[in-house]
Amino acid sequence: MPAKKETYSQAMEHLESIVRQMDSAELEIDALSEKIKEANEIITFCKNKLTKADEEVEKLLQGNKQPEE
Amino acid sequence: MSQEALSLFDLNALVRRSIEQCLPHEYWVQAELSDVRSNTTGHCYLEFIQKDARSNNLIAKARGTIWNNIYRMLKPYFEESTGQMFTSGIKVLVKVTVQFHELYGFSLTILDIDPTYTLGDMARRRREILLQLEEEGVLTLNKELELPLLPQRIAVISSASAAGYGDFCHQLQHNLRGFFFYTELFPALMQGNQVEESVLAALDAVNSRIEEFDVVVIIRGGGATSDLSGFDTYLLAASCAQFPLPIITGIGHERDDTVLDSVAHTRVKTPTAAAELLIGCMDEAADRLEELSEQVETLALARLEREHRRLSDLRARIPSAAVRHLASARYALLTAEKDIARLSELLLSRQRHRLELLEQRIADASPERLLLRGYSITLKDGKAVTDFSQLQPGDELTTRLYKGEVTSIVK
Repeated sequence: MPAKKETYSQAMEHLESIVRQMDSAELEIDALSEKIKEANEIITFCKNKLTKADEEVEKLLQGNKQPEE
Repeated sequence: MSQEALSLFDLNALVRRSIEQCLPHEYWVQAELSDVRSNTTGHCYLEFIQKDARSNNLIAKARGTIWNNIYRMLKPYFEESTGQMFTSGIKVLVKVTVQFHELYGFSLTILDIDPTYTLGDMARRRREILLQLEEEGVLTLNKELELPLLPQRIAVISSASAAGYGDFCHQLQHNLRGFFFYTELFPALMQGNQVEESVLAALDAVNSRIEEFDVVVIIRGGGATSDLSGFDTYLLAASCAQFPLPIITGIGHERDDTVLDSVAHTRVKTPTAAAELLIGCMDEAADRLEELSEQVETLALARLEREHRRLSDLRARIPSAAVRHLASARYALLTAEKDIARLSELLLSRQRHRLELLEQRIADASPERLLLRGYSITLKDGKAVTDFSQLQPGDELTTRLYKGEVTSIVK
């Protein structure tokens, strides 16, 4: 089971690299909208991480209601 | 000679009077508590003992009494000052008077206690444990763990009934920005003699499901007086120091750190503060995310703005560029026109010259020139004769000279 914190930090790293690219103007204008879309997807993903239970935790929550095996 | 025998009571009364006379003062005594009991009347009965430092054998023992009027104040005062229950096994410095009772025998009546002595003794013990952990190289292991970016899955070690646990969960679940937290309680006794054993068992339970959690929180309801000695044990400290997840303690006390606090990743005072700490981590992550998402927006807008400016710059340059282009085109046209005129002139004169030469050569080749120079042309029936075989005797020939013609007959 992949540790979710890693996924979040990977997402953040990705987001940071997009911002760096945009900042350094090395980004082709044609790619701009694609990058914005990508950034928005990451932001939504991260926001969800902050405020919602992911599948893994859902399972825990479910499992908690029933006695263990 | 026979001495008059004393009754036991008389003898004991004698001992009592002697003691009262010889030991009339109040004395400060260092001793270890043992067998501490209090009854419904509120009096406290206990044993003072002293062990040999090396052999640990008992070398002194005395009964002690704390009357309820003293005990009522002494117990909470001691426990608040030390964070240590007034119980067996601890070392105390007490002010006593020495009593002897005919029926109950020798005992010490406690009048006062100096908690700093106990604190000192406890601190020494804690120092010893920390020193041992340091020598074993595990003292700072838990502190060296990095708190995860999102400490959302929390294993809570606490007693289910403790107010502190409720405070903690409430604080987490009502965080202002709606962060999600998952908490699971691993119940443990948080006071009394079984703290160590019970917390260790809870840690084991967490450890068996280590992948499911980000952080461990050990908390306890906030009464000021309570028994913290269970958190000062070597085994618990060693286990926490080496635990693979960061441990946050909020065991609600004011005094110096317990050993557990010293080895934990982070120590806060209360369960509420522990919740705030976790929310704080999430705040930080959320702030960073917001910052980045604002940057994405700002940078994208700036980039578009820049491209827009570039475009309008280019557009503004079009008219002057066009004029420049037209002018240079016109110049090129003029030049071409001139070139064409000049070149055609050249071409014509060259042709004219050639024509003149040809004219000269043609003029040089005309028959009149030859006739003038004495040549003649012989004609038969108006055609030039160039071969004698064309002629028969009797043919009439016309010979054309420069001036005039001569007619003759072939013989």
